[in-house]
Amino acid sequence: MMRILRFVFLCIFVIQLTLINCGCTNKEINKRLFVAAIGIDKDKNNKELFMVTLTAVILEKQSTQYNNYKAEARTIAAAIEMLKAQVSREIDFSYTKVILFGKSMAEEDLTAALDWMMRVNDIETIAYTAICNPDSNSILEKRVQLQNKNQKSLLTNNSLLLALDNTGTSTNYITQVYLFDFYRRMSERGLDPFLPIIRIKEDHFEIDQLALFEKGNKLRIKTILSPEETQIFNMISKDKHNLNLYISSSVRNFVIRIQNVRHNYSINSFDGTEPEINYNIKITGVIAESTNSLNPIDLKTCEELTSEEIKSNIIRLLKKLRAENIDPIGFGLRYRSRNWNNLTKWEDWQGFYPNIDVKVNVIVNLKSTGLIR
Amino acid sequence: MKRYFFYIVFINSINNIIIFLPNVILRDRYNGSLMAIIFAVPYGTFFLYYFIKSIIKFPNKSYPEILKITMPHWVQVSIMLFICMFWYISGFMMLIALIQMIQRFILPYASEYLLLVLIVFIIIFAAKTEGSTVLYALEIFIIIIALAIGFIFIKSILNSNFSWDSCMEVVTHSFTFPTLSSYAVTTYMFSGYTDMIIFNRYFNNENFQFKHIWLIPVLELALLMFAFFIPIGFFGTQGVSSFTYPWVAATDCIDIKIGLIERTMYIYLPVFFLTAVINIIVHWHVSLELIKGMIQYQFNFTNINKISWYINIMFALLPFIFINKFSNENVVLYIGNDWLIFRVFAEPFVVGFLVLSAYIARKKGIV
Repeated sequence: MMRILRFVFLCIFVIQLTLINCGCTNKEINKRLFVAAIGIDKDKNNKELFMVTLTAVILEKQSTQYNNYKAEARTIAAAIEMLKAQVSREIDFSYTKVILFGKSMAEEDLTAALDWMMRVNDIETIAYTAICNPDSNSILEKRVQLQNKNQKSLLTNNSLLLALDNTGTSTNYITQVYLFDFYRRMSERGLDPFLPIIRIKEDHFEIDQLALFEKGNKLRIKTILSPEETQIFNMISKDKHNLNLYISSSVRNFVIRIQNVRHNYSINSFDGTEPEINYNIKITGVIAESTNSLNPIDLKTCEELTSEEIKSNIIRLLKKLRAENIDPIGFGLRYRSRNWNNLTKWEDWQGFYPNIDVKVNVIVNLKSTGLIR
Repeated sequence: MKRYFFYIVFINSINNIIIFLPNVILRDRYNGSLMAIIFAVPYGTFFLYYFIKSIIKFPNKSYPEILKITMPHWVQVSIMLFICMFWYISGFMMLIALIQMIQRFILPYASEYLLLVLIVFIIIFAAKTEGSTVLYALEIFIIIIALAIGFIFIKSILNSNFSWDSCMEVVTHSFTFPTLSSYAVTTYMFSGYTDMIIFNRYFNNENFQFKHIWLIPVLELALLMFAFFIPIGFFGTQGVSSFTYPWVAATDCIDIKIGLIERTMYIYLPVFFLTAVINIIVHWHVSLELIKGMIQYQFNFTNINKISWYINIMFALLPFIFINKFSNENVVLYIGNDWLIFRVFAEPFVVGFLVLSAYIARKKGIV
């Protein structure tokens, strides 16, 4: 009797394990529609309506097919429900890696869309987020069109994922922003959100701008950094080192390829004095190109020229951020975290930041002139 | 046998950082959570030390047997009636939290009764086995769990998106008197040692020396710090309190770039499941053995096997009756919170009774 009972319980345990371990709960993999990218826009004519575009991947023998589905509704959840009526499969967001917002929507308010993203449990928070110019629907349409030209491989030259996740191309023009990072910056005091902007070109995409957000009552774009500023921003905020700098002087014009960046900053505030931002950055690089290769290069003077150039670039960028009163690097958070005056420190910082002093200290170390002197 | 004592303590604390702790201490992060953590370590270690010091004097005896030889009959009965259901209620709260987690993340459309059938039967069956079997199973589970937890901790600290400034910002708010609920939940980290009132049956002077006890406060402090700071590092000081499952959300922020699976959440969810299941098994085993011991030693009832089946059936049926009272996440949190606060005041009594028993036994010259 006992033996039979034990057998029964063992069976229950095994069944239970198989039930819980199977990834696709009661719907098989060929009855699911895997979404690769989500695009969310506001309708052009009626600002109340959300337009949701889903790029679905349909895997077939030796090829992949991409399809776009779109729907409009007053809320995102309702639009997803309407999309369920268009497709015959279960919509599965667990492989969604790219989330796109339309630019016109980002100029108004992103809070509602972001709320849906974080509330639904099947969208992974390590998805990449970006803004589309003109809107995400046209980007995703273009993407499908380009992909279907080249059906053989999953990752073509125009893959948004390869561009955004830094495994393919690595350049300072492209900023990686995870969904959870964007959400954190939305609520954290003294740390403001930013997103890269994807622009559509004839036959490809261009990702080289950065939109900086303000977050008062509404989460919307405050200013847009130019490609050059984006490069510098990625260097000074995330230590990304994939950029070249063109430096012109009376002696010669040359290009520095940066190989390694280390930065740190502190906000010095002593009793009774106003704080100042002390920004230190240490750069190693090599000379990549020179207009004049006849007489050999003197690395010392090049280092001085480079450090002055980089310093002026950084100061210009920091002063621009200060003038717009946004803080994507997180100086405010640093001030809060190093100050024990809990009652007033955040109000103090808001008073200090618009006219804070910025001191930048650049150390450039040029290692080589390349293969020729 | 010595290491099993550490397993009993640690499975309880890992289970605590998985289920109740994050919500409470992250909500109170500006109201003295850090101070609660700092206060909890000496408090928990103090009770643990005196509990073990006392119970070590009764080799191979469980609590009902200890009571029988030391206390008058009416004291025995009232103490046993007071404490016997504590472990069951603890396990019950974990079971409800586990069912909700499964419904939220693993099987979104499953009915809670189906899940209860699947889980409760295996737990009841496992809790009814020998205590030594439970301990051996615990060892196997804890190896898997500790590895996964260590992996998640290391992976999150090395993550480049982890914000140390946010953690420091919370540290600047540490000089605040803690709230009662955050104190309750942090001291619960230590109370795994109370399971020894049954498992002491397998410990004696030969296989259990009172050594390396400093490991417990050190490791518990590390676990508490990790459990507190990792969600803050990923979601910032403001955003972190808006999550219903902060730890599940935080593990979803860690990506494994070159791995079989990309989302660390899929490592964390099985850990959640295994920890909760083994901990419910341990707690219900303790409760079952306490009730059995009470009937056997305090009421002198002999046909104990039949009784134990009835208790088992009652254990299995209660969740089915009460599950629809806990359909809302917030209700589970509030009731779990109240239960933990009650436990803060009940635990000194459990320890106190045992210390008293040891004192009486020494006076009587039994040990």
